[in-house]
Amino acid sequence: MRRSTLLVAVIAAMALFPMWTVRSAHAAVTSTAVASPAVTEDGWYAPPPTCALPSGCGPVSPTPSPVDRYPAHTLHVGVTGGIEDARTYLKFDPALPDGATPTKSTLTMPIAPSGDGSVQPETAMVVACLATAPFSPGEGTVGAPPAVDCNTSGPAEYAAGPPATLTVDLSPFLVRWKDTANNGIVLLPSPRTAPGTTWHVAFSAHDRAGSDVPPASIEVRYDPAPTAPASAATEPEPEPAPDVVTGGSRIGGLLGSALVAPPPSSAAAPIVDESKVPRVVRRPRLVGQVGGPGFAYPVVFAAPLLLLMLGAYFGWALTQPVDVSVQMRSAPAMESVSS
Amino acid sequence: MTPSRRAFADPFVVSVALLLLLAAAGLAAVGLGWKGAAGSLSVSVQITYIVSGVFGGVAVVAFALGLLRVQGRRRRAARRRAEVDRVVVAAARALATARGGQ
Repeated sequence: MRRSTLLVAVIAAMALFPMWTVRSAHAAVTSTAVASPAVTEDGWYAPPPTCALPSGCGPVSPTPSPVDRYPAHTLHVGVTGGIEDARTYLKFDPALPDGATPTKSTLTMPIAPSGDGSVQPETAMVVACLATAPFSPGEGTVGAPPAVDCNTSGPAEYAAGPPATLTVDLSPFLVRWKDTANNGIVLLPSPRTAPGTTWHVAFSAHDRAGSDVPPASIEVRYDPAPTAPASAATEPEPEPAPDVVTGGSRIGGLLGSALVAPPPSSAAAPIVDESKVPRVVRRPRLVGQVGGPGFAYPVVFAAPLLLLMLGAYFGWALTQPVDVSVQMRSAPAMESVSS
Repeated sequence: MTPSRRAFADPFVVSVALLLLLAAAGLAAVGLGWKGAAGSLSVSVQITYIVSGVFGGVAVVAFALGLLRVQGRRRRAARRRAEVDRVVVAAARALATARGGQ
């Protein structure tokens, strides 16, 4: 009895060993590391309005920098009347270990309050593009901004706060920086900005101190270089369910292949093969978005009701007879009003 | 009923207190509108604050002061009526006394 139990345990251990090795290798491959590179340089430009013309910026006359309008060590992106008046350049070094594969990278920029210059940030349409030329890390540099390549770009998604943030997916930029120089990225108004639109978004620069608004943060998630044995790493996908048609040789491992002979192929084999193909889950695609960013003070919708109640009360109160005996004692101050 | 409770049961007193509160709220709205407009460099935002805050506040203050004036006039008219009533009663008593003396 004891010997048979030991025999069953050994056989079970031998059968389950391949599954364990596959699982551990899979875990080794899919373990994700996180890096948080810091912004090393930043600056913002105030392009002259002539830069919006088809002829380009042209000669720029020396004009006073608009930096005086905003607190020091802040960054800005904005449009006035549909014309860009500020854009921000950021540079950071997404240095990853050799062989690492970035999976998800995001840039999160907390939006500074209106005291720092933000105006209707919830309506901002900001896009991040690849900077193809070096920029000068200044504040409110008036002049033609460095060249950008918006073929590599990503929209900045607004998220309500506090603090509200703009989030940019950095994956396209990390891919481009593998074969081009890293001049950073630029945050600028989207080309789809409607004419006449006015908004302004302010951020904290990386060297700003004494502010409640933190500077931009970057998070790069990546899969480190695989260190698991090559034989185990060749099969990273999860094991399929036991297969009655083919005899379940994978679950059985050595035992299955030795003890269970595969049956001859049947007419149901193609159907079974098709059932093994992972089904792609298709999410419904949004063709449009209805609605806006919401209301800052939804309680204002109670104002008409309050006014209606006040009007009804005053309508009643002003038609009631005035009891002079009460007024003589309790409201002597009305003498000045009535006179 | 205490005098204060009796006063607050009077619609005239309550309406005057509410109108004074309304006028104070209007003045506060004017102040907030001014502060908001001064805190922004964008003309579109400044106009929003001025229209909603300053103009709205001035309208509320004018509404409250107008109704206060109406209530004051009503009170003055009521006092005048009461005084006339007192004069009429006194005259009637004087007349009755004179007739009794004859």
